[in-house]
Amino acid sequence: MIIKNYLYNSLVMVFAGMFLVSAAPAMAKEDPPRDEPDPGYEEVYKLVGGSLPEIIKEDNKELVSLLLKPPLGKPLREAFNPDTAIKALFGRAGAPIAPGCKQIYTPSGDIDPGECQASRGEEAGGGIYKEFRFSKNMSLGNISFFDRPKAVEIDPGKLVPVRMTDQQAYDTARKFLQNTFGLPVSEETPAPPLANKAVNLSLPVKTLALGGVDREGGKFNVPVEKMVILQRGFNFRLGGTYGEYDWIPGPGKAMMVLDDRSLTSGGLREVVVRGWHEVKAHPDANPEFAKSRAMLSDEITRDLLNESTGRISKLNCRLVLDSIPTPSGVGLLLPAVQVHVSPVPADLSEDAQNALAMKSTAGFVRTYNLVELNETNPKGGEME
Amino acid sequence: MEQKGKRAGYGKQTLLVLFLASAVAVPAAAMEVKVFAIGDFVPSGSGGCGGGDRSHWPTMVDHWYDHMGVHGHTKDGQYTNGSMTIQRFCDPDWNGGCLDYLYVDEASAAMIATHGSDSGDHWAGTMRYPWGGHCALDAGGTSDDMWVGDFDLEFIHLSSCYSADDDNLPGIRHAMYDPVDSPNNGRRAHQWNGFHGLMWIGSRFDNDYKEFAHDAHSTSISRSWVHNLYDDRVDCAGYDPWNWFGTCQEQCPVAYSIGPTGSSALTRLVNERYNYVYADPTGNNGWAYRYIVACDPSGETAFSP
Repeated sequence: MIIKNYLYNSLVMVFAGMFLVSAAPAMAKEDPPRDEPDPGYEEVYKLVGGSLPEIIKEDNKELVSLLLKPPLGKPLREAFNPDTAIKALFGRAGAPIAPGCKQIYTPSGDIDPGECQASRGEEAGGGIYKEFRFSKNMSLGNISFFDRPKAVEIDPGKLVPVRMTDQQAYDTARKFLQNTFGLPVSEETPAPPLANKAVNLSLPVKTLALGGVDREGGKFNVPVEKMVILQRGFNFRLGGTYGEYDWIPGPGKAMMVLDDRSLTSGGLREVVVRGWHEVKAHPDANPEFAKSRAMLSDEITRDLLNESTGRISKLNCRLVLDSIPTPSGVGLLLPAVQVHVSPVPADLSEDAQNALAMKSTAGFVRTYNLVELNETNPKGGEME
Repeated sequence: MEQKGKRAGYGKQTLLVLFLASAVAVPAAAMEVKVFAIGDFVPSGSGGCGGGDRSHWPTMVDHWYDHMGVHGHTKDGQYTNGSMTIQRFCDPDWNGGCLDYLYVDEASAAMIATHGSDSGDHWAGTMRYPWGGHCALDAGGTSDDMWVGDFDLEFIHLSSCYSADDDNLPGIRHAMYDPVDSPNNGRRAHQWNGFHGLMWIGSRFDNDYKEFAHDAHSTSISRSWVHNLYDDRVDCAGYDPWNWFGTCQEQCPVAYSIGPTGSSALTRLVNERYNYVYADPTGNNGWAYRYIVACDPSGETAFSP
């Protein structure tokens, strides 16, 4: 057992000041700065123009008009029943709900944006613990659940590989989210159209794994769980060669982690619904003020240049429905373009990665409204 | 603007030490947390280290920092832009002028946000200004600038590209102890959380950092890091918002721990939380990691440890 020597720490602290103003000493290896020039207007404008979805034209009045009337499902405020969820997650014994859950207003009279919690076990310590949280104001659309096992020593050789298939995980997650949390089917983007061989048939399911190396050099990598991710979408049936513009991403995402227990006992490790807001069209968005493709390209280009981003290797734009929060919790939907900017290409060799030292590497995302808002409530150019 | 936090509360730390001496793992007392973020990089012509600006980066990682405060931890230092050099992160056993024991290694949990690259067998973070001609903070592998954990740090989180690349996993452990001090004082870092390949910045990720802080109190830090910071659809082509054509990239978080054996490291990885902290690892011959199989980010090939 290690006992930290804080007396030693304190002594070090006392002497630390002696070095605060010391000159930087010479070092064996220097790595001087490597500036990269910002791209010019023409270069960025061309990148933006080349990546905007083709569905965005010079005249977007009709598109904006359509996007302001999304086919909404029943909001979680109506569809989510905490009692049903608690029974499903904790069994007949249920779980006590924290006091104050019925207090949905703050002392100042505003709607409380906080969460209500029900739990079994102790959060602190190494025991079994289950925690269920949900928005007091379900218009905000946040729900989460964890089932934490007891903390025990883990032998890598005894890790049990998950056997569940992606399809089983996907089906189980969708069924649970719809039946227990009330997630509207009409807002869950369907799996890709299987009939079309041009598309990627993989489901939005990932495998989670634990790996490592022992002191003797023995290596282990064991898949232990499945993670299903469902992005909220709205089915506008906008078309495209393969129907790729039929569904437009909206605010909200659901994530569920399952292991093989989930198929037999109904046990779940983790479920999260985040930002699945109740939404309505932004009242100040008028299709007459839809931006043209050229206007949007210019706005995005100028904003990126203003940021002084350094090198841009890739730029991708996608049409989305953004949500502007309001005090009531109901989000105001706005058609928008989400721009992803990457300073490096998709795949790089190890040598190419080494050459990135002291250069821009982090990608970033920003969102731009597709329509100018009335001056009564300007929110144009919302930054992501 | 740079804002320095207050000094550590040693009385509280001493109590924690007494607890740590009496059990394998204990509900931990409040931690001291620090965040170091660069969003405004300085061109070399102005005396800086270069790098493209990412103005939202400090705000994004502050969501972790602020929420740690909500959970009762001591917000002990919020360093944004300012004179960020490797001096705050390097160990005096590498260079006598280094001051990690006043900055990153003086916290119990810290987050660093800056551009990063894969420098051979380790991560290299870009600083705002050079120090001794040095713009890169090299950590792990054969590098020897950054040795944390020998003073205090337990959990280090890197909001930085290439900070946990698959090919660098064997070397991360070398940044989590000090070869001079750790054998004598027994102190080592517990966990390192980073990314394989590129990571992303934007307000759409703000809540992920907040939820990471929140969930890491009720479930393990490693689980919270990987599950909250994974993103399955970044950088998709405009015609492919659902990745039906396979154009999307992923954001690939990786959590990493050390121990004298693989079993010890794995046990820490699976169980440690901000409020359930084991005593310092007694060695780093074993290491373990939590990851997403074949996660494929920008700037890298798919994760293949």
